[in-house]
Amino acid sequence: MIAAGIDIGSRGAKAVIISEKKILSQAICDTGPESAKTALKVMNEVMERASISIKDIDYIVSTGYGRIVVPFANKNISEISCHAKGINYYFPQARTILDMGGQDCKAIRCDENGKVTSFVMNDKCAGGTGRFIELMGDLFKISLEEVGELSLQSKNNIQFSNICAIYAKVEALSLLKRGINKEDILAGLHDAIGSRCISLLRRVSIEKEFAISGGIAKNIGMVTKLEERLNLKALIAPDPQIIGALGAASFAMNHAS
Amino acid sequence: MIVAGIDIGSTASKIVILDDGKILHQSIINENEDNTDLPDIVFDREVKNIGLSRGDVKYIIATGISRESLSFADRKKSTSLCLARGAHHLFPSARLVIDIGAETSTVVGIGDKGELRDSAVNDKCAAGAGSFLLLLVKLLQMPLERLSEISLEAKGRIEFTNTCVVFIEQEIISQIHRDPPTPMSNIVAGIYESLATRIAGLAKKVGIKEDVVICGGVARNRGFVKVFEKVMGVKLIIPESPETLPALGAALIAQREISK
Repeated sequence: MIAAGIDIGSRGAKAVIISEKKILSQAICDTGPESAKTALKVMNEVMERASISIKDIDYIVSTGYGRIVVPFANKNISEISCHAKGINYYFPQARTILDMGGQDCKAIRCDENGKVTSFVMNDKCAGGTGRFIELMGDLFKISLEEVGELSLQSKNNIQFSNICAIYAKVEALSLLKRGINKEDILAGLHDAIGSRCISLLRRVSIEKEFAISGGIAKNIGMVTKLEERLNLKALIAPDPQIIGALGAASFAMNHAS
Repeated sequence: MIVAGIDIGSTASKIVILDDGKILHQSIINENEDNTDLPDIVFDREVKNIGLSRGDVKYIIATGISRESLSFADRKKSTSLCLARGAHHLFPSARLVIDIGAETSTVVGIGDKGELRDSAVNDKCAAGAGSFLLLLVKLLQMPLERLSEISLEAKGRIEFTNTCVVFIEQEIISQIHRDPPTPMSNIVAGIYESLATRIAGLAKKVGIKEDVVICGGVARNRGFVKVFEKVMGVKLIIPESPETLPALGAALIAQREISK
């Protein structure tokens, strides 16, 4: 049995093909203005990597904010369920999940089968999402990878008074003018975003077995900040960005068999 | 007797100088790259411009978000208190005053005798403050004067699905790049509706009671005021100099303190 999962997120599209429990291939590409075209693009890429064609796939589940416009999907399932399912693939012991996406942030509680028991999300305010980090990268003209790494070099603690991304940007600029270095400003910003995530997590309660998924889990600065603040070691998959698509593929496999 | 009120906001400072209760001088000093003078220097210059010296100003009250930075003020008073005093002085029938600043929106309920009854502040989120419109000026590359008029020509308006200014920015971009593009007037009208709804929510916390005064630079934006009046369901009173109302209030308080 072969199944596929496709996750059309706000910033990136992800696809995974699995055979029973084994991952055959995975692909990520940027979300374009037309979700249907994006879906086709990422699907073609993931199939090419596994050297299979669409007729070899028994079942396809779509997820993410663009999940309803995936023309070739057999079913669509919410990304909350898929993230929990995807994390369960790597870490069946995980009970609390923080998913930090491009434009939203979710705190999820799940059981031993990866079934969601409760969740809260922030998709209203850019403060506390990946978009905030992206804005800061733009401000300092550095790549997303560097943002996290630079923040780790900070030696002084800067406390941001704003959580609104617009205001924080102004605040960051004025700090820069006052001669505060980039590293410290970035560390302060990661701290501010971390606070938002933690208050979201507290609403579903934080268990010791804690996982982070989504593109921001690739930001070492953010992960370190969260681990320090929570005094926990976070479980992170080899590629945290494909967790939603992997979860969708797992659901697809259940349907296929 | 000469007194002064100084309102230090996040992007501009406002000064009102009173002589025996009459406005002698008022000005707005925008902070920008070329204008980073300390408030001390700025104030001295302003006073000099009207042929006075610092010593002639007998009492100074500072207000506004950054009032603590003004070291030479005799006293500091909250923005809410100054708003209530300023609005009551100009419009004794005013029961509510709404100040839309760049980063802070303040709504103040005023009692029959001009006393501060209640207030609500948003300084956390750009979606409910003037910054929202400043961003628009940049994004649409439209001067403020045009921005003030264009929504009046709108035949419809965009309903934004987001609240956060960061996300709305993307919505605006995708509206502009539609084929055919959404008329600019409809986009601006949608933004005004969004901002108006946020601030009206703040006003409801205090309780909407007429007469309602609106101040801050945004009060000069005719298009916004029209949308805001519709959302609030009241007619708004706009002072002749909407930016300097809190500074006027501060100067009036200075006047009263010194005549005690």
